[in-house]
Order: sequence, then C-alpha cells, then structure tokens
Amino acid sequence: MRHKLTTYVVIAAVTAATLAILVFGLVRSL
Amino acid sequence: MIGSSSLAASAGSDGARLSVSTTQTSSPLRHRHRLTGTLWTLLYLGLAVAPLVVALVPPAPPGRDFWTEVAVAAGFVGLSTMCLQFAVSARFRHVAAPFGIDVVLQFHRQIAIFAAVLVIAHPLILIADEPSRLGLLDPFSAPWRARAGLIGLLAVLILTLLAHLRRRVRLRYEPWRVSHGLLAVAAVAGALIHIELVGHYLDQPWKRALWAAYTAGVVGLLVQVRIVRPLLQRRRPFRVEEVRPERGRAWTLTLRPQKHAGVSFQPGQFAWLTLGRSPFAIEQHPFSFSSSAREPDRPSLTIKELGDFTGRIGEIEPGTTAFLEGPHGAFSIDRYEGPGYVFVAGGIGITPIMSMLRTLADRRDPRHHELIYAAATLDDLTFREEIDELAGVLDLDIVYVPSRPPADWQGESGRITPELLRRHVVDEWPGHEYFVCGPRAMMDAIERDLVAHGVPLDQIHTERFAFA
Repeated sequence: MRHKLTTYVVIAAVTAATLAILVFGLVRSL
Repeated sequence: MIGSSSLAASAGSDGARLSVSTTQTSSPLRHRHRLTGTLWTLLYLGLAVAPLVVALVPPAPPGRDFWTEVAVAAGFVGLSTMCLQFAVSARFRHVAAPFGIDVVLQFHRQIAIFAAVLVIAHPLILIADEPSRLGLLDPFSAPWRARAGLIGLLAVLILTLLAHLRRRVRLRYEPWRVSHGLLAVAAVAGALIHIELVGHYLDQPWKRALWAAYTAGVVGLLVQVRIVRPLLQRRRPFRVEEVRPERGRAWTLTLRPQKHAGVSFQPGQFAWLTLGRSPFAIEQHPFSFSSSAREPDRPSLTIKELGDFTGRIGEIEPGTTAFLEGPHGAFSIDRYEGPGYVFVAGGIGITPIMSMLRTLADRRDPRHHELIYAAATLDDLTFREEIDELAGVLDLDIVYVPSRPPADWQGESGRITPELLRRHVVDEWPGHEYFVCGPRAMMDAIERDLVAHGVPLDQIHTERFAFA
C-alpha cells in the first residue's frame, strides 16, 4: 500500500516539476 | 474507547497508558499520519520548485529563448532536488513517521533518477540549442564556471551509474556508501559553485540567499548525520548479552543497554545495528526487533544468515559493544487499530511479526489474530515452539505452510495461495488488518491476491527491506 503510494507521489512530483520547468521556460521567453 | 491522545502516547513507547479497543476500526493516528505526510510532501515540492519561483520574481534579468530558459530551469530543479536528497536520506524519524523509512528511501532512489535526468538534460539542451556551447565541456579551455558545472555533472553521472550497477560491478556496500556520500557532496558543491559563478538569476542578494540556505541546509544535514548523531549514539551503547541460534539458519542477538533505559520501539519496527567500539563505523545494517516492545531494556534482533555480515552473526562474542540507530519503520500494529490482525510471514519475515505477537501477548490482547507462516520445511519455521506457546496466551490461529512438508503432515503445504487466504482469513475475518512480511515476490502475490478478494489496500501493510 505505502509503496504503491510512493510511486504515485514520485509520478506526481515529476509531473509537477516538469510542468513548472516548461512554464518557467515559456514565461521567461515571452 | 481509545482516543487519539492515548494512542499517540503509545506510539513512542509501550507505556502503561496503552489500552486496546476491540471495537474501533478507524485510527486517529492513521489520519494524523496522512495529514503530516501530505504537509511534508507539499513542503518538498515547494522547496524543489522554489528556485524557479524566486527567479521569476522581479527584478529579473532579460529573458532568453525558450530552450535556454528550460535548460536553466532543469538545472535549478535538478540541483534543488539533489540538495533535498540529503534530507530525504537522513533517516529523520519524525519526517519518516507518516510514511515509514522504507518508502522514504524508496522515494530517495526513485526521485534520484529524475534529478539525474534534469542535471544531464541541462547541458544537453543548452548544446542542442547552441552547438558552440560544446566548448564549455572542454575542461582545459572552459571558464571556471563551466568547469565547476562539469565536476558536478561528472559526479552525478558516476553517482547514478554506481547506484544502479553496484551489484553488477560487485562493489561492496560499505565502500559504495562512502563513495555515494563523497560523490553527492561533489555533485552539489560543483553545481552550487557553477550557479554562483554564472550568476544569471543571482543578481539580487536575497535571491542569492535562497541558494545560501540550500548550501547551509546540506552542510547542516551532513554535520547532523555524520557527526552529531553518532556522538549521541555513543552515549547510548549496548552490549551483546546473548547470541542464540534459531531455527531456519537465524540468530537472535539480545542486547543490554549500558547505563541508559534502552530503546523504546513499536512492535514490528527495526533499527540499524553497528557492532564494535564506535558508532562512526561505516558498517551498519538494518534488522527487525523480534522482542516484545514491553522490554525496551532487553531488545532482541533476529537475523538470518544471508550475506557476508549476516553469515558471521553466530561468531559475535557476548560482551561486544553495539549501537542502535532507530527505531524506524511503519510496519506496526500500533499504527493500525483494528478488530484483529492477520499476520502473513515468509521465512525470516517472521521477525517483526514475532515482535508484534510477543507484544500482543504481553498486553494480554483479547482480540482474534491469525498467523499464516510459510517456510521451506517445518524445521525452518523460526520461533515455531514459542509461536505454539503464544497460541495458549492469545486468541491466535496458526497456519503453517511448509513448501516441503513431512510425509505425515496434515496441514497446509506448498505456498500461500489465494484459495488458502480466502479459506482461512478473508471470508472469516473481513475487518482485520493484514501485515505481510517475506520475500518480495511473495508479498507482491499476497497483496495482489488479497486485493482480488476484496480486502481494501489500506488494510494491507508490508515491510520491504531493500536499503542496500
């Protein structure tokens, strides 16, 4: 249970961080 | 009825305040862990992306093309994630409490891949965007800002390769652990010097302060973990009182605290054991307590002969000095209140479960419990005689599952099948909490089978030792 949740948290963190990086790139290049 | 305060009081020590409810199935402690776990996760995410937020706050330098800014952002988040790895791997009991240290270290390993991808992507995107930047990778001609980044990058590459290929290149755990720490420091130091010398988003003193805080945090964590914690452990030594052989090629080490009260733990938890005169020793191994939580002044660890270190456990002389770092772990009945417990053990996976059974017996727990215990043969069932005795103290049903039973064996045999689980526990005890500990493949199969039988996933608890 806890281990499965961890993988979901990792996926969520990776997705959030990737989005943040792309948004940063977009905002700074406008 | 048990209240949140009395349950919380029992969490740290197995004191007299503990009482056991036979009716309550939802635990306030479980909700508190969920809340604090969510808060830690949000704090982690906030700290990981904080450099981007700070960089966006005006006054900011003029913007550049999309890919250059994406590369810079990847580098920033890669570095902040690397800095956070020092905290994630620092084995802080309070931080790990909502999750269990095993999943915190699982997170450490999984998120490390993402951090490495970001750090490696940083120069690759910059070079793909502007090939003339390739010259910055030449250590002889590159400016110092690029050299520092190159050192950090190389350290990350070696760190990542060694972490994943350690067993294949047959590198022993201890030298690997030393190299892992040194390379991590080199990676973060190189990257921090790199962003300081580049200085593009560090034009304001308060923006510099963010990275100064990350640097101070990493240094503080290193001091805490490598110096302060061993010094504190040195004040709490144990002596090996007894080294006892057990069934199934296992040994039980019983420890006695030297001029301190011992170690208060929840049944099912584990600690890192260091043997020898100094807690600064590199060699440290995690083992489950097998003794009752009611005996913090006489903790026992039961260890199966599996590798280099565990193969020599039987040679340890009584009187040897030992140090314990812990307790750690979320695999405990004290975290999950329920109408009763089902324990499923495979081989040496009985160790934390034995601690829970002994503790339940010491507490004169009135609830029904079930133990399903699989091993190669009946003679390999560690603690078999004592488990049989516990059935006289507890309302405990025992199902032994030898894979190679004797000819006259009347009970279950082979492996723990979905049908066996359904027959013995799922249909009979629908509200029980499940504690499963054994080989990884067995735990995966049982977790899958229980879910298929309709057992809610949050009623199934597993302990997965994969630290090395």
